[in-house]
Amino acid sequence: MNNNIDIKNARIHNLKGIDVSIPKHKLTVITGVSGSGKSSLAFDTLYEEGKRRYLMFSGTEFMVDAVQTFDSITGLSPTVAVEQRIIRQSNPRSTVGTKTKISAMLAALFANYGSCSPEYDDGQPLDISMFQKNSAKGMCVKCLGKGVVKWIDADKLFADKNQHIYDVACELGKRSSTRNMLEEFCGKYGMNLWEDKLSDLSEEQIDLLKYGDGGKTKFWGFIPWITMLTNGSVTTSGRLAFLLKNEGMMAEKRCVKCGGTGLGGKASHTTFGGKTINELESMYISDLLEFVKQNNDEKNPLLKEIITKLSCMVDVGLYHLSLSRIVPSLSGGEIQRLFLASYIIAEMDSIIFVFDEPTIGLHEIEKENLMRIIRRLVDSGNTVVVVEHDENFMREADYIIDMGPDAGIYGGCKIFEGGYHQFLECADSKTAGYLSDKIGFKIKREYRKTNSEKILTISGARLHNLKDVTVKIPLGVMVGVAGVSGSGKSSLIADTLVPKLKEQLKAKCVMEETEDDEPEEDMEVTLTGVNNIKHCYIIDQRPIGRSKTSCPATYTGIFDKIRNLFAESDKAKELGYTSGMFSVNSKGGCRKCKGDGVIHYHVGFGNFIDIDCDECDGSGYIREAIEIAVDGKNIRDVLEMSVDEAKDFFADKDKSICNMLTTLQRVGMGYIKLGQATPTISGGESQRIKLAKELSKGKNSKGVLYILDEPTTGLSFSDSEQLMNLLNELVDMGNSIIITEHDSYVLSNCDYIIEMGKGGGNDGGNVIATGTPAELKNNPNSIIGRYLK
Amino acid sequence: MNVEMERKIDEYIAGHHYRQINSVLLCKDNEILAGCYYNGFHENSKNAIMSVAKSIMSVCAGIALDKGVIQSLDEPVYKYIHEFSKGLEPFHRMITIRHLLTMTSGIYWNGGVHYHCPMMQQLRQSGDWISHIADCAVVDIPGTRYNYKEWDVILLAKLLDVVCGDMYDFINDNLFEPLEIEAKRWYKSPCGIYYSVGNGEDTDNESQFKLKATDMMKIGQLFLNGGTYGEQQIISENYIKQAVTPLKCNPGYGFLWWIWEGQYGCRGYGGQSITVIPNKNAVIVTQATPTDRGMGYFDVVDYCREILI
Repeated sequence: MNNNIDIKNARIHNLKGIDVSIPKHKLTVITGVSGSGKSSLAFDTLYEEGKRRYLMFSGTEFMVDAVQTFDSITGLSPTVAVEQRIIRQSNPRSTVGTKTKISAMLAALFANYGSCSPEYDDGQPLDISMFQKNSAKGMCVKCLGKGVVKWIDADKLFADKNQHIYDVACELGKRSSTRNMLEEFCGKYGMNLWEDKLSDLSEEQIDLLKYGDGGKTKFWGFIPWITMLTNGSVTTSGRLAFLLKNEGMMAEKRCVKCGGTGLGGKASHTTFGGKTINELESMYISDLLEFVKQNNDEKNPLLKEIITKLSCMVDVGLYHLSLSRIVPSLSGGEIQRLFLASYIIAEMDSIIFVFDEPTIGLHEIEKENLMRIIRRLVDSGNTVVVVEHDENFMREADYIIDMGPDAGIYGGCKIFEGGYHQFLECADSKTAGYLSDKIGFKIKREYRKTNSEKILTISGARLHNLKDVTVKIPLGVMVGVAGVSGSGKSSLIADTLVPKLKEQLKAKCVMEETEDDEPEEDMEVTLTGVNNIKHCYIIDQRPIGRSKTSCPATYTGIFDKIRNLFAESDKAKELGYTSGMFSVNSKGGCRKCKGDGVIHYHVGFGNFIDIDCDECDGSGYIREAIEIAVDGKNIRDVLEMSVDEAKDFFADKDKSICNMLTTLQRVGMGYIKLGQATPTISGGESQRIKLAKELSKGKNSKGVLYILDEPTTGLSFSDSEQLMNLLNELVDMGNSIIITEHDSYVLSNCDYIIEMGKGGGNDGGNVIATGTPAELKNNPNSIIGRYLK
Repeated sequence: MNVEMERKIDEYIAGHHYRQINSVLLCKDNEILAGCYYNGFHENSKNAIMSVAKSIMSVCAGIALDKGVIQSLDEPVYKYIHEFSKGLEPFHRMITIRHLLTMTSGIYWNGGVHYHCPMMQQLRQSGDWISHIADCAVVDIPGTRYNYKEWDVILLAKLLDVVCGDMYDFINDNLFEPLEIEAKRWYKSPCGIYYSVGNGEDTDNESQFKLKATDMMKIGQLFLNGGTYGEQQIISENYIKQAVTPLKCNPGYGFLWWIWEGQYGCRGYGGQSITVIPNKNAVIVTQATPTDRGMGYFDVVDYCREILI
């Protein structure tokens, strides 16, 4: 029996032919600076091969392997991986409840044990699908299960009789997509789009404008046309929806038929233990668990199963979520723990688990719980391999593999392999030094003074679980917002402060446009002190760009310049190639794989295997494009370069490209490839790329407020330190920073901390402590205090 | 009668193990060529006609139009059904009688697997079918997208009831009696809507509307003969033409009548069909006991047409 998983000569990506031996039934932590090859080893080698062999063994797989990426791996057993980034792209409708199957179990519970209120009871038995809002049987017919309904107010659109026809619906008639149709329509019915006011028209004409003429001309009438435009069925026009909502002509309203439950009448009036299924789904999981326990009669196997699942979710630190929470709104760490919970519930042994920074987004207290759970997995006979930067996690590890020494082509070597204590002695490791305090993370001891005149004040915040919070946020310093998961950090900053800033600063408040539904807003809250801010940048963890082919180069705008460089090369000029030739989205894209470079094969069980496209050899480009080289490198080679490499390459070629690359390095993104595809970029990385983009715009800005969400996620100690230095420089230049954060090193380096708590969900929503890190350490109310450095 | 033809049909059905088929009727030049009955069925047996009733409602609408009970197919529905005049959905005002006849009201409907109509459950629970449908989301601009659904015929039944006084009496007086069809009154929901498929109980329930195969044949013949039965003009030829003219958004459908290359007709769940083949001057009728899978037995119809020569 082999007690180790032995990997020989692993060489995928930047790995330089490394051999490692991972002990089975133990906890192994793979560490190293960002981009050093941790994920290549853990996910692309170990997990991919484990998955491949398992699928081959279970007969669901056909085998095509482009390039052997290692010589041998022995000692494998079935492998499951929980990566953060891949799951990000999940079904937008899936919820915590559907993902964990607890919603289906609740539906079964209601179908079997629910009691229906008499006025809705038709004597027919209840069934499961009646409690599922995505089933045709269960969904509310008005909102189709969404709980909200879009409403266009026809009367309001036409209320102002002084407006011209072209003014109606925020000057919709002036837009190119509408103008010609509407002009023709008006002509046919004796109206003039540009001259007639509504007061000049007859009732019939107004009615025609509202609802059209039943398809006799191209114009459908304002109401249908606006519906189509705002549904995105013609073109996506988020702007029109925004304008109309602002004017109160359109709104998303709670569905009046189902009262927001998304279910049909009978289901919404069926209760278990006095609560409807919707009430249960919107409870915090910790509260739900209590409720189910109270209603447990020890005989009902369904309840027992639900309790097991819910307890597990509480254990992994997801007590603050509700079952109705949609999965895309979860953070990467939360998603990972959601999966972790489902594995623990399955109670398997002899499985290899590969995790990607499971501590992300966790408070120190929660990390301790998570450690216990992972230890439990190991103790019950599983092998756990974790890619992790967290110090305490490394201390707990049975075995450590350190990758390095640096990122990209300067990494890919195994620096160390062995136990924790030996690791501390390892002089070559960039990580060990921080652990042993030989280098030590720089900890701030002098805090910037807060100026009582430059303060943002939020008063009366009541969104979600916030309990009438009033808080002062000092400007001109670095402010950390701490608290356990669900304590109200995001409700306070992202959902209360940010919308208010947007409302007051308007265009001076910059954040990525989202197509998401309008978030819930707290109308009562007030925000003062905004006059102290010139500009505000909200830099979140949402992906950069939506297309599969977007990447750091496209997002930061340097790709256009790079393509121009190629188009200006002599050979390209001679052949008449334009910059479009060097884009996979344009002329240059391979016809077969549409520029992806790989072809996606479904191999069963929801698993896919990507095979390099044989038409373009995986480059995604047509041959003509690949044949053009600048300084010996073709366009694909350039996209494969890390930011560090590219900076050397472009040093003498283009100054503006270099400036952008330098900024990327400064935010710790030197290791990322220019062409790294968006879906493989983590939330933390996305955020740092966005930060770099904003920084490159306003070099010497002052009076700017930056709002960041766990910016050091996924960064090694040395990269984190570098990023913190950069942020401190920004503050020194007269800017302000607000960081929502769990990391004790980052928090220790803030000037001022606002701590939310004390627990999550209903236990949270209060400010429990404020002050400098040193003050919090001595504040008995503070929870984070004792973890600060 | 053509014994040879009947033998061929018997063999075909036995060869395909179609045990649920109850009757196959084949008519050419106004003369019945073959009448095959199985499972104890005979000329006077009645079988549920399922959605063939939709096509009968189309005839009803046509006669109502002929008689001036409704002025035009482009009249808005809200004129007769007040639930649609309240502006519950922005598109309600745009829905016309024509849209109901063409399954293009735009109201959301999911027919489910094998058209088991999961959405009917909530409707039946609702107590007021029309209000329930008026509450349903309108997801397509009326008239733009064909989606076969129960909603549109339920609304049509209500509308015809309003304009005709009583829809069933109107059909009985103006269609069944002149055609010498004897039938039982359609099922009426507790909220007063005629619904030929009945109260939703499965298998051969009393509330389903049933006809003899020869009754269905008469309806096919009526269309084939341009709306006349004997000497009497039952429905205008003009309406029939429109009813079997392909829609822009679905070339396979007219006014609650199905259209195929060279033929048109009616279809009901589980093997109920009337097929009119004008260039052969023929009509084919099939009846069957529906299965859960909703078998259609269209190959039987095709086979009958082939042996017609």
